[in-house]
Amino acid sequence: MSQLVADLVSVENDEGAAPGGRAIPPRSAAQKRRRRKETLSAYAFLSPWLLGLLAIVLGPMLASLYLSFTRYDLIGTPEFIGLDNYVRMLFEDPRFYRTVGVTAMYTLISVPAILIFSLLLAMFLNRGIRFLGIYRALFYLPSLLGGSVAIAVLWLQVFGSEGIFNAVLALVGIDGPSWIGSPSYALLTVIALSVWTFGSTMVIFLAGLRQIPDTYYEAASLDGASKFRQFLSITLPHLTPVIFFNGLLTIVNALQSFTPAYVISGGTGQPADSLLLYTVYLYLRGFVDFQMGYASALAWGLLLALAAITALLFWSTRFWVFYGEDS
Amino acid sequence: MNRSRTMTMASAAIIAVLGLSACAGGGGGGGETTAPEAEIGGEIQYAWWGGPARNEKTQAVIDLYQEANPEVTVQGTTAEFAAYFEQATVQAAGKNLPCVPQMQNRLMADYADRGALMPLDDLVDSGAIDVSNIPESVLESGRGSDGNLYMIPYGAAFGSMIVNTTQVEAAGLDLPPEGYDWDWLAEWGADLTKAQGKPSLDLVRSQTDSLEAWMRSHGKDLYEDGQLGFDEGDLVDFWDYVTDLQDSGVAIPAETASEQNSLPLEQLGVSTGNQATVVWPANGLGTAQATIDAAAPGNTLATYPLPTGPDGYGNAFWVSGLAISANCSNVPTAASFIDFFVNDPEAATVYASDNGANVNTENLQLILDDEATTPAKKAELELYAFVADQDVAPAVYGKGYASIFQQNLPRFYQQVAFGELSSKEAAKQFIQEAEAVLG
Repeated sequence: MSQLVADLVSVENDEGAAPGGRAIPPRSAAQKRRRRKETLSAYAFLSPWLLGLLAIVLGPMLASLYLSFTRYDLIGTPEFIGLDNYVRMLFEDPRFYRTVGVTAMYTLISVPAILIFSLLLAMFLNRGIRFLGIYRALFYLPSLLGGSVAIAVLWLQVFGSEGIFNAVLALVGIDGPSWIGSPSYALLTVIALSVWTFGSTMVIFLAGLRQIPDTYYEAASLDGASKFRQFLSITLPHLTPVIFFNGLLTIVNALQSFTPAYVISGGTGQPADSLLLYTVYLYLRGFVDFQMGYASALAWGLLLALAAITALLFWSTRFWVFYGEDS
Repeated sequence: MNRSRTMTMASAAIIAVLGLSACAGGGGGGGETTAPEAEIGGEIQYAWWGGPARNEKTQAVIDLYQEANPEVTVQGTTAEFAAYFEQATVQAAGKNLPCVPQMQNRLMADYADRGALMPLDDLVDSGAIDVSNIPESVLESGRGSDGNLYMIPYGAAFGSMIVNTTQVEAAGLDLPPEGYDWDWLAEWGADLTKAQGKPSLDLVRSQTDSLEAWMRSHGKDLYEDGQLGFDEGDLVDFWDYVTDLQDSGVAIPAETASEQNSLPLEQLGVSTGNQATVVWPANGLGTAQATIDAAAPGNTLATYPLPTGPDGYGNAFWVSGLAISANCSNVPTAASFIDFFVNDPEAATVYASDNGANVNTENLQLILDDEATTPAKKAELELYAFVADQDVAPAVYGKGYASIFQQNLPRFYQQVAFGELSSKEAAKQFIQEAEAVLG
C-alpha cells in the first residue's frame, strides 16, 4: 500500500521536475536530497488520511479477520477455534444458504431493474426538453432519501395491508395483499424501494450520453437508420464503459444493502426470512445472538464474494466494453 | 465546571471506587462502611427504554434527584425497547455501558452472566441502596444465575388481554369472566369475529407473551434451570391452537401479524378502534386508551389477565429495574441515584408506575391514593394486585431470551403459518436452535 503511494508521489515529482517535456538533467546529490524531503512532506500531508485508513478501516478489518477464527460473545475474551466458523457457515448452517439465496435474488432483480430504469430516464432527459435542470433535481431527490430509515418507515405505511397503495388499488376494485407481511411480496417491495433510488446511476448515464458525438447520429439518420437501430448500434456500444461502471457500483451496493430490509422487517428478516439479506443476517448473528466470531466469518465471506464478482466483471469487460476505436 | 472542582470530583470518585473494592475484598466485615455524602457527586449516565410519555416522567425524576443533590449531573439517554438492548450490547462490548443502565429480568442474564454488570449486594448491605420496601420474591428477580444481585427492581409489568369493552358489549357478548381459559377465549373470539365480520384476537403478532402464558398455565415455563422449560410437543400444541384460530379468521392472519410485529401499541388496531382485543403488557392500557380517545372517541378499553389453563393463571411478572455497569467509575453516585429512584415518594408519584406497577409497596399505595393517577393506571394497578394474589410463580429467565424468543420463535412460527414447515418440523428445529444457544 505505502509502496503504491510512494510510486504515485514519485511520478508526480518526475512531472514536476520536467515541466513542458524538457529533457531531464542528471540527478545531483542535492536534488536527491530535495526529492527525499518532498517525499517526506508528501507523507506528512497524507498522514491524516493514512492514519484514518489504518485506524478506521484496516485495523478493524484485520481485527475482524482474527475474530472470524474465534468464538467471541462480544463481552468475554475471544477463544481461538480455527476454521470452525467457516465450516459451520458452509456446511452446517441452512440459514446461510437461505440468506445467500435471498441476497442473490435481490441483486439479480434489482440491479438490472435499476440500470434499465435509470438509462431510460436518462435518455428521456437527454432530449433537450425544457426545465431539464428541475427534472434532473427532482429525479435525483429519491437517491438522497432512499437509503434512509425515514423512507423505509414511510414505505411500511404505503405498502402495509391497509396502506395507501392498497387504498389506490381498492379504487379500481383490486383487493391488494399485504406487500410487506407476505413472504411472496416482501422482497419485491424492498426491491421497488431500491429501484426508486435510481438518481445517481441516472446522472452518470446522462453524462455518458452527452459524450457521444452527434456526428454518429447524423450519419446514421442520413443512412436511414431507425431510432431503435441507432440506440443499438451507437448509444449502447458507446455507453458500455458507463454501464460497466454503474453495474459494478450497483452490484456492490446491492450485496451490501441493509437499512431498507432491516427497517421494513423490524430488524428480523421476516416474514419467514424472506427479507433476510446477507448483511441483516450478519447483524442478527453478531448483535442479537452475540456470535461475533461467526458474524466476522460471514463478513469475510461477503468480502471474498464481492472481490470475486468484481474480478469476474473486470475480466468480462474485454468481451463487451467498448472504449472507443483507438483502444 | 471549573478545573479544580472536576479534579476534586475525579479524586473523590477514585477514592470511592478504591474504598468499595477494599470493602468487597474485606468480605462480610465491610458491611458497616455506609457511603458518606461527600463521595456523591460528579456526572453519571442513566439509560432507559420507552416512548415520549415515559421519557418525560423519567426526566422529571432526574430533575427531582438533581434538586436534592445539586452536586450531581445525571445524563439521560433513551431508546425504544428493542433498540435499547441492541445499543446496550454494543456498549457492553466496548466497556462503555452507561453507569446506570435500566434492565429487565427477561434480558438481564445476557449482561449479568458475562460480567457487564456489577454485583450490588455490598451496596445493599452497606445501606447505600435501601430495598426494605421491596418484597423478597420481587427482589429475587434481580439475581443472576450466580446468586448475586445485579438489578434493583422498581416496576413489575405483566401480559394482559386489552379488550375494547364498548365493542364487545355492542356485539352482545359477555366480557371475559374471572379465570376464563384458552377454550373459552377461542369460542368467545369466534363469536366476536362473527358479530364484527373481522378478526378479533391477536395472539400471534409478537407471540412470546402468549406462549409464556400458555406454557405457565399448562405447568411449564419458558426456562427451567437455565434450559428450555418445555418440549416439542408443548410447542406444537400451542401452535396448533393459534393456527386453528388464524385459519378460521378469528385471529389476525399471518401477513398482518408479521407486518405489525415491530409496531408500537399506538399503531395497532386496538388503539385505533379497528380490533377488539390485543395481548399487550397491562401498563400499555393508559397509552392505548389515550390513543383511542383521539382516534375513535367513545370506546373504553380494559385489561384482563391472560387466560388460565389446567394449572391456573399463566401470567408472569416482567420486572424492570436499575443496575450498575461493571465499568462505572462513580459507583457511590450511581447507588445514590438508584436509591432515590426506588424509594423517594415524590419520584414514585411523578413516575406513576409507568414501567409496571411500583414494586416498593409503600410507594405503590401512594400512587393508588394519588388523585392525579388516571383511572386506566388505577385499573392496571388493581389488576396487578389481583394477579399478584394468584400465587404467580416467580419467572426465572435464562440467557438468550432475545435470540430464542424474540427472533427465533416468530420466525419458525411464520414458516408454519405460511405453509413452509409443519408445526412438528418447525418445533423440532426451534428446539434444536434454542439448545444450541443455551449450550
